[in-house]
Amino acid sequence: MTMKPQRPRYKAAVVTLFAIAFLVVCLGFTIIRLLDLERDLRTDGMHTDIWMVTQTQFEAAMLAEALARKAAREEIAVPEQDPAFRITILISRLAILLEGPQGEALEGIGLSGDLKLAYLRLTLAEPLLQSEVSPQTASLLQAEARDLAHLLRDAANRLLIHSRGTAASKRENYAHVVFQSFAFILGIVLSAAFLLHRLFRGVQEASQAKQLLRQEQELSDLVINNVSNQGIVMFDDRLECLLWNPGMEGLLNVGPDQAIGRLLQDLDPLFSKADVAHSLHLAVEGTSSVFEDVAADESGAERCLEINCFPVSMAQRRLGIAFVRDVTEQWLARKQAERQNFDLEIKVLQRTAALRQAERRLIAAIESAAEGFAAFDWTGKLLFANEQIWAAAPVALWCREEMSLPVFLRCFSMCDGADERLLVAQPPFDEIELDVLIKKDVWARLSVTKADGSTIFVRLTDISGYKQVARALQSALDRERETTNAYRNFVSMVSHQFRTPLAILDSSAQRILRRGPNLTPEELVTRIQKIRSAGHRLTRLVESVLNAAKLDAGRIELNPEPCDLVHLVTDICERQSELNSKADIRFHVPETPVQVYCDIMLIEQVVINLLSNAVKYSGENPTVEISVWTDGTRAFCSVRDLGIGIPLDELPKIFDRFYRARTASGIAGTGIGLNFAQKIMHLHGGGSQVESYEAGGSLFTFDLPLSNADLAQQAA
Amino acid sequence: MRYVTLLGMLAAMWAAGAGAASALEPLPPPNGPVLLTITGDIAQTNAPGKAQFDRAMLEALGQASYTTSSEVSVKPMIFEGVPLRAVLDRVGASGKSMRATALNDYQVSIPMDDLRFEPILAMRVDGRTITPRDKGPLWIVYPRDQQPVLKDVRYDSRWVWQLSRLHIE
Repeated sequence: MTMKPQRPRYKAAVVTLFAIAFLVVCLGFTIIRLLDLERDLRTDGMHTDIWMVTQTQFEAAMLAEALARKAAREEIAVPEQDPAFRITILISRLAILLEGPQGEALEGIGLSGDLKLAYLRLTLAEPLLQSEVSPQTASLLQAEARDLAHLLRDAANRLLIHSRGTAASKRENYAHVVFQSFAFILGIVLSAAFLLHRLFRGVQEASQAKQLLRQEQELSDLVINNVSNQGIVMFDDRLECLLWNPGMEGLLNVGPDQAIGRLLQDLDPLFSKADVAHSLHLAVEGTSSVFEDVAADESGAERCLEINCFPVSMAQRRLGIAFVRDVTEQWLARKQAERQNFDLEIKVLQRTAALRQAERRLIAAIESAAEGFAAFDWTGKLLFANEQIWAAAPVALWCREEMSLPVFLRCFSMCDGADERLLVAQPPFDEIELDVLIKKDVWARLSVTKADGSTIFVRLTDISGYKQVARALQSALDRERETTNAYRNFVSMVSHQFRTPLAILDSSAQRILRRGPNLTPEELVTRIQKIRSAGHRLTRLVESVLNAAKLDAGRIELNPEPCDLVHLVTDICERQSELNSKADIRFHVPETPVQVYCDIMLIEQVVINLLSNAVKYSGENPTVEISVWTDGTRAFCSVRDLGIGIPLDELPKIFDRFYRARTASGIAGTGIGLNFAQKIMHLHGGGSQVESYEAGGSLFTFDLPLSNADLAQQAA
Repeated sequence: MRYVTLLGMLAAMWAAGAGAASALEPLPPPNGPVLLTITGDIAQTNAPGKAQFDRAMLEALGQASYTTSSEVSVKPMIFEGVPLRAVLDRVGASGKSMRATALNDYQVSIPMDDLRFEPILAMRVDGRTITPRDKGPLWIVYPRDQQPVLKDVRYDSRWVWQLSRLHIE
């Protein structure tokens, strides 16, 4: 049947067991309690104790009487009345009171001490009585025996009172036991009622189950007999047929009435086959199996039967059941499909071979190409790389093994032209195209492209030739740009600086022409002076331009000779002071001469240039500070002014030819002087530096190598 | 204990047999102090109307022993003595009951039926001969531990100690 009632049934069994256990326990307790009671009733300690005490008391009285007769010197004829006999009996009685249950009872009421003492005294007196005893001793002993009798009478009284108390508590105990037994009997009744109920239910369930089983049996018979498209056969371990449904008849043409009770081997050759018989035996032993059997029927057509064998356990017998089904159609269809599958596989093999050949051709083409080529899958795993890729300098150096796309790109990250994209490349990779210098004078274009979203191609093309041509073109362009720039600066300078003296010339000439004879000789002189001055200025401009041109053409020749830099500088300054008396020129020069080796004419030009600039750009009252000092093998000269200064952003360009700072607008100048000075210093193997702050003044410094003589002197 | 009991039974049977054989023999007079006097409905006497036994005569009637607890002692003790049945057979006692009397005149009536428990007249307890001082010289002992039915106050009162006389009725 179904498995569902299993759990409640299990529970019910536990409950029933519990009820039985409860019943047994109740019964057990009741019996134990009643047995206890019975044992309690069987002994009557109280009565015995009192009886024992009174017996002893009687003996004590008897002894006292015998002794009284002895004390009265009476002759005692009966030996049982002699004190010697009576004391023996008394001692034996007293001994019983001191041991066993009576001893415990008297101990309980606190009398055993006195009794023990009396016992001792009697034991001591006994030998006295064996021989003839004097009347005095007899009367003394008589008093003691009487005292003992009194003591025993008290003991009997106290025992009675004590035992009545005990009896009362015992009665209470009996009542208790009765109540307990009643409770246990109630338990017994309840559990018995429950068990009866269960028994009744069990019988009912059993009959229901039997009925259900019968219905199921009928149903399964109905199903088995009406399944016509499937044969069902049941058999025992000898393969004797136990069940044969109409489906089997349809398949094997043997009716159920012919089949049941006969061996399967005799019914159809199918069951005689060794593997079929083996499977049937296996089913009986407990192993399921399924197989197909192909056989030709009488007409010669092939027929396929599918046989499912299962073990069955029925009424404690190990049986087997087999389901037989005609699957010829499916079998034929499967055979057809297998055949088609085989054809398809051959086709696939042919196509694959063709594809392989195409692939080989493609790889050969890639291998023979001049440029490097590699393919990676979308995770960056290398699929293919040709020899040119492996031979590329960074790859050959850094990553011969375990090449993946990130590793590959990182190889190139230290080449010129690389950027951080090569370092951070991770799946999914971005497309990259850049030019890298992979070794000296060899440029390559590295391009990473993605094809159909999964494959990544890398190409490495040598572009060194292209790069060389580009560089040549770039330098030509730079030169051209420089020339144009110089030309533009020159034109701007000329338009500013040449125009002013020319205007002065023109205006002076116009004035002389207009005034003519009216011109006073003083005014004429003034005008002519102005014209000359303008002429000088133009000459200077032309000279400086020519100087620059000469310098450019490398036509200035250096004529070095030893000279004293201090002397040279002070000489120039004195001359300059004569020209501009307003200027305040201060010196910081060493007292000893500083010998340098230079072209005096050119260095003079440099100093004059720096000094005149300092004065020119310092406004009304120029203050100029000139210093000369030596440091190591070099001599230094600096010129400081407190004039208009040069803006910070223009400092790097201040030595360019024709360049003038924006603070210098409005002050005449060509932008040639500083450029010229720097070039002269370069010719001498020296340098020139500038420090300046806008509106704070400028400091120009140049340096020259000390002459050998001066060095020797310093060393000395 | 069971072994001892069996021995006791065998001894009792032998004694009974001997008793039956010697029942016709006249009872000789006692030589030592008399321990037990039997009166009443008896066939054999050695004094007018009564049969008297000294220690030697009793011991000659057979041996039996029990190890059992008693009313006066919870601890089992070893009782040795003469089977009561052997003594009664020796004097040819025939009656329904016997009245046992102790030295202190304690009296109790014992039905003859009790012979089925094979009680003994113990003379030694725990190997020591008992005297009037300690419940001697004779003590009727039932196999109380061996037969549960004997654990009853009715039987306890038949354990007569300091037994001196038996009167058969």
